Amino acid sequence: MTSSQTIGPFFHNALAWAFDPGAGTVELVGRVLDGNDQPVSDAMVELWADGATGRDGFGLLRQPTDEAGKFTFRLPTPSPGAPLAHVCVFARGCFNQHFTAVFPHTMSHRLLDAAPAARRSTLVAIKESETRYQWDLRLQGPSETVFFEYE
Amino acid sequence: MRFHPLGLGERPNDIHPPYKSTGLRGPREPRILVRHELVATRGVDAPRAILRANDSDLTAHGSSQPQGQAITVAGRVLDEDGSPVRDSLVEVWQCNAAGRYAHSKDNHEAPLDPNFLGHGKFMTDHDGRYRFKTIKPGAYPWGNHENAWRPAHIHFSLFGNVYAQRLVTQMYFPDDPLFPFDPIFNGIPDGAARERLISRFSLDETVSGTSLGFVFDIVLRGRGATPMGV
Repeated sequence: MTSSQTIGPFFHNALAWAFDPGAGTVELVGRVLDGNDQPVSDAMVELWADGATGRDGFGLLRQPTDEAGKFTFRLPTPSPGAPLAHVCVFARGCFNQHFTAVFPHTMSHRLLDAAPAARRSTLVAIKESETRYQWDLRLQGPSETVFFEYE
Repeated sequence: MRFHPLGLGERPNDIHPPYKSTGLRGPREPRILVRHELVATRGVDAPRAILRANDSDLTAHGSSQPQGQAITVAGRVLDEDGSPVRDSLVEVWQCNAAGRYAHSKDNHEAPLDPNFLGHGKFMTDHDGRYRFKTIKPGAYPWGNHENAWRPAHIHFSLFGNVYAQRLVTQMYFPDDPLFPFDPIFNGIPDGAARERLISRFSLDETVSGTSLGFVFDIVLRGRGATPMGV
């Protein structure tokens, strides 16, 4: 297989054609943070959610993080029992992409259940209002986000 | 579709001290194995309408030819069975011949080239083949350690047919003297896996009087990747 290499810091112009935060009514805001809780200002977050069409029907939403490590997406209202979105993060300093997911609340779901109980909360967003969720993605540290590998 | 574990040494360790920024950005916890059907059976739907004129000719983005050695890069995108990954989006980006990205954050003092933006995209064909035209990127210094230089490379972003095949990587050029010193290239533990990121010179892809040819084949994760009916 072909090995992964870092996306590096200079991907923006090449990938911007598909930068799209989505147009749904549910806002997902958060930050990508490193092992010292410092913002990662040159990450890219890709996600897909049921009903989010993406640029030109691409099917995928993606956004670079800003100077504060922040990202914002506007997602469709999730179906009962479904995550807000499936997520993949890339960054300079990451050799590999990292797959994860974000849920609107704790629920029984095979992905959540697969995560160690003590770390499950890293996959659950904070509900700030009916239409706004906050979720930080931590690449490392005591609250490191659970990342998945597909088999 | 099935996904087998990556081969030993094919995946870079998330924390590789010689590449300093992995120190705080590499996860320390093991990945949690999940069935890919849970999440990743869908692929992106990249209609050819997203492709723009000259997306696969990076030498045609200015008012005249960019500086540097014109090259063609071609290859096939395959799954682990060697089957073609068809109709699949590939994005590429690179610095110019002097080693400078047309990017606001690149502060390398090498000159920008007004005729070179350094990015493109294209789809694989029915045989998984792709081909694009560009110029050979330069090497450039970076701040990882004293006198650190990246070997010349082109960034590739691939979507495969389902999202679990997603791959972002870098293609290198044969016989680069910087290989032994580059912690990103050497972050791949297995030597044979590192070699697979090096394109090979191809006289067949060389266009007489115009451009040199390089071939870079890419193998994505997954067996039986080509969906029925595609």
